Amino acid sequence: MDENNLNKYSEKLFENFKLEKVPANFTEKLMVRIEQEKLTEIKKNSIFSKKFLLAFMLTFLSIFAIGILFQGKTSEGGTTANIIEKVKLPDYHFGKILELLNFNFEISLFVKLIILSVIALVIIDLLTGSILDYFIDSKAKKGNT
Amino acid sequence: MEKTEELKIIEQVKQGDLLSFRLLVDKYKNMAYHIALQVVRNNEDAEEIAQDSFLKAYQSINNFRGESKFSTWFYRIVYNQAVSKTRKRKIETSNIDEVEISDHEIAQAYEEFTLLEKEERSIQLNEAISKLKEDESLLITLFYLDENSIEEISEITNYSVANVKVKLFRARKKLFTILTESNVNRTTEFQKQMNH
Repeated sequence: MDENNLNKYSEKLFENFKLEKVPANFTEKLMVRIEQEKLTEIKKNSIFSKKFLLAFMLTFLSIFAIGILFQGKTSEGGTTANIIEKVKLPDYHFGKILELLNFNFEISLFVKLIILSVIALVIIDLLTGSILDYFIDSKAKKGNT
Repeated sequence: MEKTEELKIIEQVKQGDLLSFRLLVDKYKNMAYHIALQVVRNNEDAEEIAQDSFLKAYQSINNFRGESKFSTWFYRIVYNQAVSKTRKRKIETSNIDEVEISDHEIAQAYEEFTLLEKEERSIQLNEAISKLKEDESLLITLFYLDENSIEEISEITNYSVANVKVKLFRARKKLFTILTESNVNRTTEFQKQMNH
């Protein structure tokens, strides 16, 4: 058999052969998909992620909470504390703010520490995404066994 | 669309112009679909592969440096997508033994083929192609329907040039063997009908 002959006849076979066509809405569907992908990409690339903003807000709130929970307490420290005392710090009258808000109550040191620990845990978990997952996973494992 | 014009369009796509990309989609969608169809043998999967391939091409258009034809670069994406899809499931193709076919038989098969109606010819040829192995039907498609060179097919499929030549030769032979068989079957059917 001659290879050229085979090729010649094969070419002739395909002379009027038409390609299978894609469904009519193919291009439209694809364009919508590309637009959606572009939007997702923009969201992914935004400077601050939702997690970061949440952690940032929680940090801010926890500073505020520390101010409320430990108002009026002064630490008797060493030289560093003395230096800090010499520096005039703005006076945050959290107590007065709370009085104005009719929000004055007493919390024991133990409860304060627990609240702060929980806040710290949540912030760390938001940033690392591991602590709560670990607890959830271990609970799930226990549940399965 | 000429090559220089196509390169201009690709530059615009690189700058984020989606309308220019649409032009490329319209030009290559049928061939992309056809290539995928040869590999996966399923219309829905082929459409999905063609869609995914265009999306991938759009996202990685900056990797196209114009060293080869855009079609070669793009068909490679389509081929890889289709191959990775078929890895997940086994495709059944009929096992046709490689038989020797004479020049006379080839000419006869072609003559009988031309006697068919245009539509019937298309159906027969499609059926014959679908009986080939996936890589054989793909090579036939790329070579005869899109006029890619052996070197371009080698680039698309990652087969060596020599391998493409051998596979293409086998595929042509098989194609004529299938056509000869279906001609024989048609004649037998016709004779049976006449006897009844």
